[in-house]
Amino acid sequence: MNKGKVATKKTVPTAAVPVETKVVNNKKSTPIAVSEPKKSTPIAVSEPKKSTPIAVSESKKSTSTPTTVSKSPVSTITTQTLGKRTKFPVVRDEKEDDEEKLDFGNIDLNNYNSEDDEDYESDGDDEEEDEEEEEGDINGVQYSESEEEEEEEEGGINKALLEAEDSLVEYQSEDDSGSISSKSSSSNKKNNDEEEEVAPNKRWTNDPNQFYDSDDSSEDESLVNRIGNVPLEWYDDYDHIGYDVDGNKIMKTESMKDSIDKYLDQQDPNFWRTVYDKVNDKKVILSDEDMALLKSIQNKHFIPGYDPYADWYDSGNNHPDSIHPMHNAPVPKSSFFPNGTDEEREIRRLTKAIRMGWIKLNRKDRDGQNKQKKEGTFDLWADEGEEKEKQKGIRRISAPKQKLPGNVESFNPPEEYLLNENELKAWHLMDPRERPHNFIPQKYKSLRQLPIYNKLIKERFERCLDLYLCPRTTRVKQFTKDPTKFLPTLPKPQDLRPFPSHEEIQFLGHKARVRSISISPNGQWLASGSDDCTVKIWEVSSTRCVYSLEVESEVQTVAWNPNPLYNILGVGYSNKIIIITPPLHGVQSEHSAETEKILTKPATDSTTEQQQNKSVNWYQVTGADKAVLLEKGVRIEIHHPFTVKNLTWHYKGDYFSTTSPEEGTRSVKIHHLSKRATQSPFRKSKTPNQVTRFHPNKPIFFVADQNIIRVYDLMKQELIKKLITGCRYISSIDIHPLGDNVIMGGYDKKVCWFDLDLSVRPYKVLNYHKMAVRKVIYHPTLPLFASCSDDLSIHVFHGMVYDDLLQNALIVPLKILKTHQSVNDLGVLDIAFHPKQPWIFSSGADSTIRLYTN
Amino acid sequence: MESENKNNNKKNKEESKVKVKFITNDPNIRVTDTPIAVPVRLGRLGLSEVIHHLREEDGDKDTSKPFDFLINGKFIRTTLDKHIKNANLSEEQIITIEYLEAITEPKREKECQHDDWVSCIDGSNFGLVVSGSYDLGVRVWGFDGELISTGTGHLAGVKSVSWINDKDSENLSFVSASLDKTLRVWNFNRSQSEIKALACLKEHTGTIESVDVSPDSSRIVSGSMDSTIKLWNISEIPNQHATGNTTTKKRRLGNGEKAPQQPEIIHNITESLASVSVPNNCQGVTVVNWTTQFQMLSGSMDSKIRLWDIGSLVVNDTISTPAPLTHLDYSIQSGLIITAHKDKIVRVWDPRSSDASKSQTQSLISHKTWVTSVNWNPSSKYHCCSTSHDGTIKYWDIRTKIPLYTIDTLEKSKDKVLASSFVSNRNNNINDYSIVSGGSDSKLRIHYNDKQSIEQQE
Repeated sequence: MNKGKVATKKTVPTAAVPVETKVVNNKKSTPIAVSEPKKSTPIAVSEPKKSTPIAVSESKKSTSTPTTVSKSPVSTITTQTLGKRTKFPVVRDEKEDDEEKLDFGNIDLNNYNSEDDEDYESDGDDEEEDEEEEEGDINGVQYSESEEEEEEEEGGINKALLEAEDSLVEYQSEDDSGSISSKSSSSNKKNNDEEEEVAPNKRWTNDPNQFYDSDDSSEDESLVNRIGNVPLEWYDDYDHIGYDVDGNKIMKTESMKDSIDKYLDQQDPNFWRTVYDKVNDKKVILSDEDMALLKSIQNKHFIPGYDPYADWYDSGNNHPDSIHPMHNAPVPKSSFFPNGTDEEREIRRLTKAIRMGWIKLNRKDRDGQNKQKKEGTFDLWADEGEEKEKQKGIRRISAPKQKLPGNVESFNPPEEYLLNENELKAWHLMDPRERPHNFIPQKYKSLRQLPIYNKLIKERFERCLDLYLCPRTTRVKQFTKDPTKFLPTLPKPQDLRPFPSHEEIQFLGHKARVRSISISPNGQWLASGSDDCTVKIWEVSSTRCVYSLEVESEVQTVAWNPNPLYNILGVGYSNKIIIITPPLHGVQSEHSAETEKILTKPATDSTTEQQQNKSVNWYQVTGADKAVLLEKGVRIEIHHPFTVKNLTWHYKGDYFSTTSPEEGTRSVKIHHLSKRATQSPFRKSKTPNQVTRFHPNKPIFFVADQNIIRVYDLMKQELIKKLITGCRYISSIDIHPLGDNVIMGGYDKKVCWFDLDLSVRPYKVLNYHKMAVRKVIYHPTLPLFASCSDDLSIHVFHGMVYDDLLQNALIVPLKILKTHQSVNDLGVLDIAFHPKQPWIFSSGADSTIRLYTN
Repeated sequence: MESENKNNNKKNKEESKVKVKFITNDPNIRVTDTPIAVPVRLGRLGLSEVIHHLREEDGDKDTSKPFDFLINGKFIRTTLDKHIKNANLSEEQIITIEYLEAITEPKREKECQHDDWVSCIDGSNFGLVVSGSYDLGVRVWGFDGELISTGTGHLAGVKSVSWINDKDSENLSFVSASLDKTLRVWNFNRSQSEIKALACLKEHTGTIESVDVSPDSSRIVSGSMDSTIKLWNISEIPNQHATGNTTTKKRRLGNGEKAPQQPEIIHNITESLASVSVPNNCQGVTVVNWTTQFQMLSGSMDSKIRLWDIGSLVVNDTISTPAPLTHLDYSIQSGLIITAHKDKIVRVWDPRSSDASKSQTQSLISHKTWVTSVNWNPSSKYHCCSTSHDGTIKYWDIRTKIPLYTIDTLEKSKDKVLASSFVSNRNNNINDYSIVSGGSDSKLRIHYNDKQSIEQQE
């Protein structure tokens, strides 16, 4: 800065030379000037390539010193750029203007050169300025080649700038010492020749760093006056125009001049190209380059020396001075492609997606959407639907949205939400889960006063847990149109023939409801007991009633002795059991020896039998008064204290069991026919037992009370199993011929199948009947079982039990037989399977017995 | 009639015709055997009218008789063209139509009152009918329905009776089987009109369901619910009713006290000639029947027909049927077996067929419930009758699946027909038989066929 002042002060006296004279001077000096550039150009062309960045940096320092002075005058940007660009054409001028001697610049140069010769001191200044200008030139080159972005980066290099300024100060001190030549020689060569040699070097180097630094220096120059963007009028009344970077006043020079001084300035030969820098309040003499640039702008030419079609060469790899490349690998092809911007990558992704069919182009729709979007209204949730459609695989439900805070959550809730004391007490008494919200609403004057919400993290964590632990995949409900698909695959009933399928014949003759039926072991006879107080025996094949016995009251139960050798029928009515040997083969005909044997009264047992059970008495039917009964085959009467409801024979035919539920705890009795003995095995049973059954081939006894079936081992006299039926009132049980399965029917409409090997709970519960189930039975030989109910229906099932223990029983509903008629809400009271044929007999409240056959 | 004929003829003139030739086995109704073109639309009635028309030309004026027509052994039951179509016959060729007098439902019946259900009938001898009843008695009835004699002695209902086919027409004998597990052989003296028990055959342990006498009248076979079949030798039974002592030394004498109603001492035969248990737990033999002297049939509840060789008493052949058998009959004329089943169906079997599955030749389905008995008409290869629990008697020609006629007098009263038999005309015209039936209405019914009724009227 100081130097600039000095320079201007120095230049002032030398200036003010008429233009014409200058031209003349120029002419004289041209040959020298012309010749020099010619020499220099070839070198200049070659040299820049060799120059290394380091060398450039040195040159910076050296060159930067004068810059402040030369570049400062133009404050505005345009002038700056002007200044920068001017330099290039100037060089060209130097080269080419050999011939065009009329050219401005040449004259200037010559003039200048001549001046150099004449006045060394001033020359020195000028020289410095020249240097500056040349460096500016370089800048210009740099600007033109490396695009203008770098201009903006200049700010980033301010530090370097400052350093440069420091160095500048140093140089200034050097300058002050007066060794200008030494300074210039130290950095660049002092001689014009050399300078001009150096200048082209710089011009042609493409090393950007070099330009940056030189650029910085030019920036420095423009910032001599540091008043900033303050109107200059404010300084009108002062002596100074502003402050330099050190805060020193910049004194007015030009504006303080009076008209005489101005006039004197006009005498300066460079006056015509002197412009006034208002900010720095000094005059700047435009260099030849500036002039040339201005001229080319006026003529609308390219900036002289700028080759718009210059060859491009790689600055990176092939340094002109490096003989060998760093590596010998061929340049990869990909390096020639611009290395994808984001946009390019996006395009690549989209094209691939389109190619793979992930994105379907539907231009019309898109256009439509675009239009909609353009129209300004848009569907906020439109994308959500699309997203759902796009999703494949598991369809996840988005996390349930949390409830938006309401008035209660407000920091300033309305009064009605605040809790009064009572409510507060109630709140604390309340179970945390019952509370409407998990905080006590409170009022704050401002949001600022709202304390930290302590539960936040816990709540968030719990919500995260909820979201994480609860799978939110949408489960697509599969509505099957065919409801039969839900049914288990069972064999068709047609494949499970034979089974009773239709009513074949009826046995007519009873006058009241037939409570009980039983079929003889060979299937030839059917016994029935009825409320008309008769026991009848029917020949099955002819449906003829071959025997009828009238008793004192309603017959509760009839049961054929299962042993085919015996022809014995047990009948229970009121509190009596009678053992009948029905005279089926004629009244006088003999019974089989076995029958007689078992019915013969043992000689000695009368006393013991009484001891065993006093409540039960056996009576042999004898005597003339009982002749009628004898003729009817009644052999033994057994008197019980209470009504006998059920009678069951052991499979060998020697034992039978009766139940009389009214007797309560001792309802079950086991009678030994050949010994005429009666036992009541259970003395402590809590509930009255309803039904009993003997195991078909083992000494096992089944006793059912109202809701539990107990299985006893008769040999060990212990309880083996307890079948939990889940039924409220058992009506009937039956044991599978193989002995491992039990069916149970209850008055609560249930039929349960128990697999004794499997569980004490039902293997299958069949809830098919609409009214109380009266009887369930197994077929003795075929895989059938049946249940009958008060709803008039008999359900026939296929109940296959496999020898393989691993295989569960197969139960298939086969047929509903419904031909009985209802009388007093009673339907089918008893059923019995034919021992060999797939026939089922049923007796009903309508006093008929029906036979259903296959 | 004539006007109808004309109308028919007029109508039929426009229609297609087929050439037929009428043949018949009956000389009384024979017509010309020159081929005649008849319209194909004609059915049974139309063809009958054609025959009547032809016979009018021959001078026969009885035009009321309907005829039945057969083409290649099949009854025409539809119109002629349909039948031709179904039988795949050619209309171009001359079709031979066999015609015979249609069998019509018997118009007249005689009721013979019993005390209880009639369970069995046999009418195969000399125009006499023997019946067994649940009232424990056996009765012999004349052809006209008059009760000739009653025999008592069974302790339970009689299940089966069979004439012992004596040559002697004065001293007849028959055997009855009963629920009391015994067989009884009875003597019926025609001149004295009385029945006397000859012997009591006791060995069965179950009720005897069926009894039959061999064709040479030498043996009796009985089938019982105890699953045994027993053969009894008739020669061991005295032919004449013996008073006092028996002539057979081998047999233990029975005690007369056992049969108080039968004061005479009768033979108690307690040992059968041969006894065989039917294998495989047959659940009771329901019917036995001789075929020839050396072979017999048994039917049982296990749905099997067994053919027994009498000499070795082994099962020669077994025919499995779909349902338990109640009755069967063997036709000497055709060699076919007809069986009654508990599945409502009457089946015809050919035991000579090598393949057991193919041996069923016909199944006659018309009954509504259990069929109780079947009988071949002794004079015919094709005709048989069946009775059922539905109260009907059906008369069948096994060449057609539709019964020729149905007697359903009991159907409405829901009574059951339990037994039936053919009884020969009293003048012993072999080809002339009437059906006798008995059932739960306690009546023996003799259904006289037309000819006899006409004769009666005459």
